[in-house]
Amino acid sequence: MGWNYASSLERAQTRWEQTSEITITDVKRKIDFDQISRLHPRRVVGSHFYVDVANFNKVLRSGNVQDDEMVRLLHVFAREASQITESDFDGQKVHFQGPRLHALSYRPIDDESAMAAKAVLTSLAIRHMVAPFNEQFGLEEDVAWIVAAGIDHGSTLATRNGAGGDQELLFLGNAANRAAHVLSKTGVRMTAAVRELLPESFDPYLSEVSSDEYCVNMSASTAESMADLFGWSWALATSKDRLADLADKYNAGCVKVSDVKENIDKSSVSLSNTKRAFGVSLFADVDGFTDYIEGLTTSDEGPVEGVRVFHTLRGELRDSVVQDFDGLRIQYQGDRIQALAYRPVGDHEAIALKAVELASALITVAEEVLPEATGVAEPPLPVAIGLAAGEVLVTKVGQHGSPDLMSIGGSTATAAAIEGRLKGGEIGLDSELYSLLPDWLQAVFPWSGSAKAYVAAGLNFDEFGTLSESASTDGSASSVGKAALLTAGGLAAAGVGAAAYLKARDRMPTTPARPWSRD
Amino acid sequence: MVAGLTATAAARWERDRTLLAEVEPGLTLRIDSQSERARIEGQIRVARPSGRADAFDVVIKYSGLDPLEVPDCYDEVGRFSRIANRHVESDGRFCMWLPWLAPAREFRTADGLAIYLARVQQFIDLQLQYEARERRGIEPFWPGPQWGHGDDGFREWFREETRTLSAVCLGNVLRDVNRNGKAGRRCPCGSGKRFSNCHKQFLRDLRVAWAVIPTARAISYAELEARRAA
Repeated sequence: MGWNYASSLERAQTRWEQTSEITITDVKRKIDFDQISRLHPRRVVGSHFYVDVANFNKVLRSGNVQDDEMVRLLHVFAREASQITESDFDGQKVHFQGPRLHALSYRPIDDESAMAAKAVLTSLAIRHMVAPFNEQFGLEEDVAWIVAAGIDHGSTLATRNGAGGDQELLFLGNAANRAAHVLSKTGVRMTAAVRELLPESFDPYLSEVSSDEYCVNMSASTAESMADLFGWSWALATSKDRLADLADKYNAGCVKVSDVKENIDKSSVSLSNTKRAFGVSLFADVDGFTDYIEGLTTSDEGPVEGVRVFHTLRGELRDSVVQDFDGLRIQYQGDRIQALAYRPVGDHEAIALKAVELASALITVAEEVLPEATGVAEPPLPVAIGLAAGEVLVTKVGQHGSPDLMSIGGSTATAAAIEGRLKGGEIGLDSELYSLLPDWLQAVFPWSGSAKAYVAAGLNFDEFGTLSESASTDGSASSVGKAALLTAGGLAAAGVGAAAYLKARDRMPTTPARPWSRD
Repeated sequence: MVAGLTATAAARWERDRTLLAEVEPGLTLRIDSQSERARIEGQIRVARPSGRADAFDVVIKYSGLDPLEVPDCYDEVGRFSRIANRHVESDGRFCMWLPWLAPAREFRTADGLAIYLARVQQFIDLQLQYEARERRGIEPFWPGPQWGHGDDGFREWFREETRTLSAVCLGNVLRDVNRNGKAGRRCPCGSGKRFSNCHKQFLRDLRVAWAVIPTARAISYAELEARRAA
């Protein structure tokens, strides 16, 4: 086992060929997004919104609430937020990215104004729901949850990623991305595109934040009235009752945490089977992918090519993580992938080293394997990778039937934050992970003030391997020289008979390679 | 069949040509009997950690038409910086070993060329490691063991080879550098072993070293004096 270029390329080429028949059609009525296939993406016009517990990681890191209790709270929050989104407002939950809900309002079809209004009111409803939520669970002052939201509107491509049962719904396009970007620490914010679509009745509650950003402030009772005008049935009192029921149903102690003793089986993870693992959280984001997709929309073939590139890249990132490095793919989040590199047994240093090696493999996949597999050389799509080490809880929260797998821990948030500050082709580490690395690898990662992390640019798999080999050089031919010799597989790939070479390899002298210089 | 070669040499050249076609098709053997020059040139592949093979231009030059004499390998296209720290001479020659430690015996074996190519690949791999370490500022840049430059290399080798000898024994050994004693005689180092099983190879190498490095003889005696003084 282990990553290598030839098998990575073969997988990517296979995936590229498998997606040659992609057809994109428009969504014209209510659809079951679970039925979307990789080969038939759907173009959806609608309002994307993210609703986030803005201080979730701060509360988690404070230690004032136990981490298993945070899992329980998140589960209840996710259940009620999903209920508001899908039952009260007839919206579409995409998934929870940790404490952040991504949802879509795409109906009534042909009434974009109502779509925007629905997204805004749903966000407001969830934001107001947090007051009874905090009250229900006794969360006061520093540990009281605060919710913020970001909304954008436009056309996006709905597709699924992954293989077999390991698939997830996701959306490609600016609207899905911009909504996350306008999300701030507080308030419900939206882009100008959403603002322009909202009915005039919203005007008194809107304020301009910048030329392209607006904020909405509305009381719960006003939001209820507005929802009622549109025919949606949310009421704060109903939320409060449901929260009380959920608190009874998921009482303290419903989350059962055990240490990881063997590879994590995603299908068996649940609230009552939450796993605690030391590992390295990884976020790999395809730099510039949204712009790339947008740029392709000028031609009919463009989006198809974009989706094919996307599936090929994301599929290979996933396979490299899961198949070659035994990592756990936590989630696809738009054009980024979240994973956990861990080992049921093994020291932390070994896990840290393996995680950086994994990151270097992902850099190679994006910058070298993908162009060769697809023949699409321009534009390059480098990945930015944030890594952070620490203990996390791996669990599933949310609606029965469609819970979201997530890892919860300070390192998860740190890795995501680091990734957000990196440029394509860079790998960034937090100080915990950095301290676990051997000296030679620490030298590769100088501190970056702008990224607030230890950052290396352009560290691909070959360079990592070369440096690793150079660090393990102890003067014996086995450590110095044999790595340079072609393996039987390498020879076969090059179409060359291996017998004589391997014979020579076996006869390599055991004396060290020790050069001299005349001068 | 190249004119003017012994049957043994011709057979070896033929074997090497076949071996190249089999394992390194990017390399071609060229023998010019008129100018009495032989060389292997083209691209040699070096395996990378990802399993890929990168190709490098090399020229392997023989000093004459003897296929059993260890050749020199050159980077004539300037792929690697020609600096002493990288053990690449100004004309692109790879300094893969101390001249008197060239693996002559293994080169004479049937797979001698294959082993030699493996050593070239090993050397290029070290160059790539050097480049990676230099790019990332990891010192020392040269990743493995190496001999000191110039005279220092000889001095290190001399000390390593004679570290177990007392001043008296070393003096006896040096006294015999140019003596051809009787077969079966005892080693002058005083170990009691037969000379052929003890310091015969060292003295053979030392003679070559003295011929290659002008200062080597003086260094050898300076080391002896230093040991006496100690």
